[in-house]
Amino acid sequence: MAKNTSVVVETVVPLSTQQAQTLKAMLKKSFGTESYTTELNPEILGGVRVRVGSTVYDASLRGKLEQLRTS
Amino acid sequence: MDIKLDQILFQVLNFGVVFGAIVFLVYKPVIKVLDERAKKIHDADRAAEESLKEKDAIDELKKKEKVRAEKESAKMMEKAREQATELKKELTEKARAEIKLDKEKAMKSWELEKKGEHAAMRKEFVDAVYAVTEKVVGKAVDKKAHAGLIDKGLKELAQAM
Repeated sequence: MAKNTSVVVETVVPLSTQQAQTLKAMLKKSFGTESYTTELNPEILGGVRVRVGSTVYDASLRGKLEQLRTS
Repeated sequence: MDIKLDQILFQVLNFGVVFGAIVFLVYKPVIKVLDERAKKIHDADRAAEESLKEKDAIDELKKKEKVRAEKESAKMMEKAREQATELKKELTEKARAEIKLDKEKAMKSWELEKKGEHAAMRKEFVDAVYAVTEKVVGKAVDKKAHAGLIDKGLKELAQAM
């Protein structure tokens, strides 16, 4: 991953400490970085959505509903 | 009675001359004419016989030709019959194949329509579920539930990343 690539984590409610640590470990392992910004976004309805640069990893409720709709 | 020999001789001579004259002047020409006539008749008979023979030969030829033509005609009829049967078979099979194709097309079309209807119904259902879920989740999920959802989400992302 490039150095300038930003990581944005969207949730409906703030992450707990443990969740934040788990996330950091994941990002370190996959992208070599622990830094990220959080965004509270009720539109995702639940779960978590991570944007790494232009790639989106969607584990939100809204994402699942969209999959159901489009499948 | 006086028998006069010279008169008898004269008479005999006379008779001879007359006889000779008759033979040469009458009998022979008449015989000649009769012979000629007989020859003509004979020739005519022969010609008639020849004509009859020719006629018989022609009749025979005609008969043979008729038989040949009948055989030929029977062969052609048989051939035409076979061709007609073949054509009928061909047309029947072609018609059957066309019917089968039409049937398959209709089935496919019906299947597609059914799928289309299913898809439309599914979409309607999913849209309804989506709308309801949007509203319900927004209101009913508490912090604990959200935390659970986030944990589950993180596990999924760990596999996806």
